[in-house]
Amino acid sequence: METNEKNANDLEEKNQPSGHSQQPSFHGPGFSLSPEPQMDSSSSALAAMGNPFPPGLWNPPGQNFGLGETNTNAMLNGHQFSSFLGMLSAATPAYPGAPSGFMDCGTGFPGLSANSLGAMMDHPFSRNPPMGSFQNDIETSREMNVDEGCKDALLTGDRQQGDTESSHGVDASSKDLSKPECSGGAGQDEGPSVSCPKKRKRPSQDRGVKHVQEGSQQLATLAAKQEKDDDDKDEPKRPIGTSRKSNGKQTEDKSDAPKEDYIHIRARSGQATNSHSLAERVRREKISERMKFLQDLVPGCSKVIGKAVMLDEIINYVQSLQRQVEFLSMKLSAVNPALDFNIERILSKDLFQSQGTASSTFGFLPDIGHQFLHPPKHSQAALHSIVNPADAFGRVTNAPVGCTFKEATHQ
Amino acid sequence: EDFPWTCRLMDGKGATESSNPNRVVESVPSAAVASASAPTKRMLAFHFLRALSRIHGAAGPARRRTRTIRRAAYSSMARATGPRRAWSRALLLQAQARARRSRAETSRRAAVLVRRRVVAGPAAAPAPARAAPVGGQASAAAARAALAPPPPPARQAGEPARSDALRRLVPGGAGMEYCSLLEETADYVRCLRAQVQLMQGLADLFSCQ
Repeated sequence: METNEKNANDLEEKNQPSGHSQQPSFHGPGFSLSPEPQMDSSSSALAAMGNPFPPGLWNPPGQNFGLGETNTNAMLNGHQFSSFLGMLSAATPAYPGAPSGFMDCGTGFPGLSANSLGAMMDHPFSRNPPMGSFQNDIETSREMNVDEGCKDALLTGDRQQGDTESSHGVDASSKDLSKPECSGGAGQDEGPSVSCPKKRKRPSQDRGVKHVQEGSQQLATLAAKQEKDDDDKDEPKRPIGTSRKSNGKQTEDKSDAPKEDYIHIRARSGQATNSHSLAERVRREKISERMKFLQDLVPGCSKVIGKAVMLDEIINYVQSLQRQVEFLSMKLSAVNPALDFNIERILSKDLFQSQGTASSTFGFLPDIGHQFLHPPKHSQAALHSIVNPADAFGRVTNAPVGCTFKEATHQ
Repeated sequence: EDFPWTCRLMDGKGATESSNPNRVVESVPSAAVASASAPTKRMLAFHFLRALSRIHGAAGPARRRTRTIRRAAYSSMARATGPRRAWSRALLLQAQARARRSRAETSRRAAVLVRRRVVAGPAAAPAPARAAPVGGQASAAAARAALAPPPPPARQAGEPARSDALRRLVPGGAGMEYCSLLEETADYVRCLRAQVQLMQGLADLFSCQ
């Protein structure tokens, strides 16, 4: 462990002057993935090696920073580069490039559960600049979740099959998957083609039909049971959809024994993997996520659960806010300071320059009455001392000069 | 003399959020924030105060000032948010169309033409052909196209009954998908709440006696 700490210290010292921007992103996943034992060692290794190519990388496994487990040592040594490349591609804000980077990373860790991979994927995106790109965040996270769903299917397909050609298929983009898969076994082409339907054509749909005839009835009933809440436009698609569900596992729970010996796609339990239903599911998740945001915004809605009541509350709140604007504008039209304030000049120059100091420092202007009596020609002098305006107003309005405020109200 | 209360407004809205429990929400790098950002609030204050000073200084018809102040509030909200939100774009277009209409109404012939067109055509009638410059006409046509009722996307899951009420409330919400409507509503609520806070502070400061 001493070498670990020494190396960590050295690397930290090296990294801080250079202002390595990837350092925090390495620590981030390390913190979030600590519950998982496998990722813990790798993340600690990553955290220790902020430098992408540390000299310690080439150490023999015996000196591998005291990781302790030879299993993970071997795996990490074998796949450290891919992991680093994966993390690097994740850390850089090139989001279109990130998914492909993660696809590559996924092949290096066949033992990883998809959850941790999803957590790894989500975290750099969650470090995004803030709500200005709220929409982009949601979109990219949704995209990533869909990709994760595809990769779920692919990884599970890998594990189930153990075929080399499907593992090669995992590497490429999902569109190319159909080609090596079609050359494969009978029912094997159906699996990946079902899993990422948004990105691909349906090459072997008719080939799947003849496999499904026996199971189509039960699939139809299951699909009918589970897609109750979908739109009517899913109805005409259902015959096609059932023909594509050649594997008996998709509409059933994972605990059910598979009826046929096809590729078993790990869809979410109890949900269909029709292309339209996937899109519908994504959309529903988006909507529920935004409803949650709105729930945070609207006060007093934390106890209300349910979309309809929530929507009523939101509408009431927006209406009340608009009514408040109306009422306050009425009030403001009545109250008229009638002072010759050069707001524009003051605001444009002072508030935007010294916003930080203005907000944080408080002082007392010694001659506040003087200030109020004679409207300042130079706003610079007034800037340097900021007054607690409640006191100022109290004093001013008590003074006879305060009449200027009062007489304006009843002009 | 006015700068103390402007600074106090800044404090009340933007900068003293360090003591606010809301700050915990904002520091988390998630996209959901419960209150508007400090630069947005600053821009709100800037635009609204400028409009207020202009309103108070320039015209004195007391009855119509309420409406003008309300319009100034929404305009300052839209300008503070900028063109990156659909609702702010819709508000800006509304304000521009209104400004062009009012500017065209200054000349008497233009006023007559505008009134005739308003009566005959849709409510979003732009400046008339004779008085308005070409550039105004082009953008007014764009405003008309934007303000024309788009086909309401009713083919969505969930809320047909109440979603149109929300669409009527949120500016520019008529043509959106339900998903983006919710997002726009969230941002609109944030900005609206900040505007209400600003106006409340102003009203308090002006009328504290």
